[in-house]
Amino acid sequence: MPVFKCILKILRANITFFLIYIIGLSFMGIGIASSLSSEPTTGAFEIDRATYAVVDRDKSALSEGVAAFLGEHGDAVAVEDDEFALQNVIAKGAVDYLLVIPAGYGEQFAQAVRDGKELPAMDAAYSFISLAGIFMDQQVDGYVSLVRTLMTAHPHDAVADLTTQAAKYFEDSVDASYISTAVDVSAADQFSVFLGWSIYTLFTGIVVCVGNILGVMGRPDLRRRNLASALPQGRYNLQLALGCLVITLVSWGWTFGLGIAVYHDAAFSIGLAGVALCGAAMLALCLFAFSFALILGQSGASLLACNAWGNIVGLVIAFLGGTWVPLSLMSSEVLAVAHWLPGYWYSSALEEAITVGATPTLAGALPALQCIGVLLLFAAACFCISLVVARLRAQTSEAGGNLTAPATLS
Amino acid sequence: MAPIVSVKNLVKRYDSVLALDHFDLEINQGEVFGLLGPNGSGKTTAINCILQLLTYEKGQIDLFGRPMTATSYDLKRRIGVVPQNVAVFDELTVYENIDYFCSLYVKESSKRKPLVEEAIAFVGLEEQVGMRPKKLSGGLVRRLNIACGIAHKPELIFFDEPTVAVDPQSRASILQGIKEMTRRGSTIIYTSHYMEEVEEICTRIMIMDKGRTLACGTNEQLKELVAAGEKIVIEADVPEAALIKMRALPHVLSAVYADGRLEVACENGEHNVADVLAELAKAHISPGRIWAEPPTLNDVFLEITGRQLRD
Repeated sequence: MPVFKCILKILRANITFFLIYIIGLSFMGIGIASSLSSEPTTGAFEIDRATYAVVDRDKSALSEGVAAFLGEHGDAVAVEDDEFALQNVIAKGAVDYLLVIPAGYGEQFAQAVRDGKELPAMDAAYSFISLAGIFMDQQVDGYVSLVRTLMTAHPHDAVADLTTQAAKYFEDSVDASYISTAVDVSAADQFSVFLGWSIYTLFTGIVVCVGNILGVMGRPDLRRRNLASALPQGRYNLQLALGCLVITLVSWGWTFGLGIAVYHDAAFSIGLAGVALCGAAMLALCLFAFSFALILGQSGASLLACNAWGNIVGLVIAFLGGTWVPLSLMSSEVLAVAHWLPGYWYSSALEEAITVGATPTLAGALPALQCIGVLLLFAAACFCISLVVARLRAQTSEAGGNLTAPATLS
Repeated sequence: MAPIVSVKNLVKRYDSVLALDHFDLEINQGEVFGLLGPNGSGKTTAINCILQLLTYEKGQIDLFGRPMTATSYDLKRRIGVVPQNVAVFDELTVYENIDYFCSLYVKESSKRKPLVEEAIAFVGLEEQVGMRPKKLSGGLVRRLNIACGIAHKPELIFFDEPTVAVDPQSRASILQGIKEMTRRGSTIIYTSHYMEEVEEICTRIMIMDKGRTLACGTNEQLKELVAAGEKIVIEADVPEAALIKMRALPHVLSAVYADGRLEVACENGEHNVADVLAELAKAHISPGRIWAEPPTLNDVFLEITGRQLRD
């Protein structure tokens, strides 16, 4: 088995890819699935008080009212009325909100109310690290608008009274609480999320590892040397396929085994038949990835190309398989596209398999089996394409020449 | 005794290009057969056809007296190939590379181990057995390339330009190794751009161009094909008038003067040097260094093909 052993040595030399894509990303899948928590929420809310600074250059009843209003809703930070200090306090994120009330603001405000014109503006700046400042500014706008309304309605009342009255309206608040959705995340759900995440893990991992090995073995000079050797071509191809298939099966075994080991409770809740169907669906997905890698390998793709194809196609298949956005939230147009990719059928197979029950009937298991069948058709289609690519490439001298010479006599 | 390699009437086309034009070849056991030709002359194509790596339109190829086909694995077992480009795995160590290629011919690891170790010693890579090819210098990688082709001790070895881009020290080592293989009884087919290498190691040489055999024979036989018997080189200031008189001398084929050097090509003759020096004396020319040399393979190649080998 020299070719088989050689494949394992090539894998050993590039073990980083296997460790990253198959081992590392499967653990990431465990992390993502386990982060789906069924812990109940506390239901308690706490008002988040923003920090603010006010520079009052007006010193009028209105400006003092605005400052007092802010004091009710946030924590004041003292700042000097100096250009550098004002820039610094925002640039360093010392406050969420900075309000500068210009001199004469109170007078201009009263005049605008009397004339029915637009209110004078105050200078405001917000922190770039939170939205609390913007929210506070909206509150100030609301407060000032309310003062204007009150001033219009009671033109002879003192401004200080009007600002106090306006502030009282803002003291009212609405009670808020969480509404329990009554959805408990089970081990089966976590197992399902892990299996869904594995679309990307397995596809990319297998494509990169197997594609790279086939790319190395298909290097024209090495290929010529192998072809010229005493090892029959059939046995060479068989060992090559076997080596790549073993990598595929190890990837599948590791990922599925890890899922079962971590979410063993899921096995009990889903049932043996359901778990077996999940495993079969994952195996079919792996065979698709294997066939896709064959196309890349036979076309002489480099390691970089295998990485690129594996990642890009893996992400597309995973996305359209509902790994990140549930299929139920996708538009009909996106779903129509998803039908043409194996990720959709894999997710559908998992969905059907998980609900198949502990004692399934053939009719009950049929939807899952149909989805697995579609996955296998995808794999078969890619395998056929890889054979065509291999045949075409074998006839080019760049790939090491053609295999057989006719025994034509002169 | 049947020749080890027999190629008759081989025709190979690449679309409209005729790569091999009714090419014939016969190589006997123990020979080191040199295949000379400029780029695109058909050397590598001929080798690839013999190894059944390429199909061909017409022709008969026999190795060891039996027809060679793509599935003649018993014949392939007796052949070693050292390709023009280095064909080793970057992912495997020196030892693993040689062991892998040897295992394509020798199944049993117990039999293989001494062969691999012998090949390593033969090319002098004992200190690099655990290294990967990327860690080796260009010359050492070439040696590894050779070791991978000869570890199974083949009876017939194809060396396709094994010394391209190799430092002089490694080249000398490779040529020494090939001579040693010949002493052990291997038959070798050697292609190269380097005339001096071919002259040094080959017992018989074929010059080919445009897919056809132009000449074939021993080094001496090939040199006899050219008219020039010797070349006399003289360092002196030679005026045009003296040059004209020089060309008129009997046995002189050509006289060329450039950069202070006069090169006179002569037919075989007993007094060529004396005649040329006498002519110089008549013209009152004092020569500096004088030497005469027999024609080289390069002169043969130039005369037969009308161009330099490396054109």
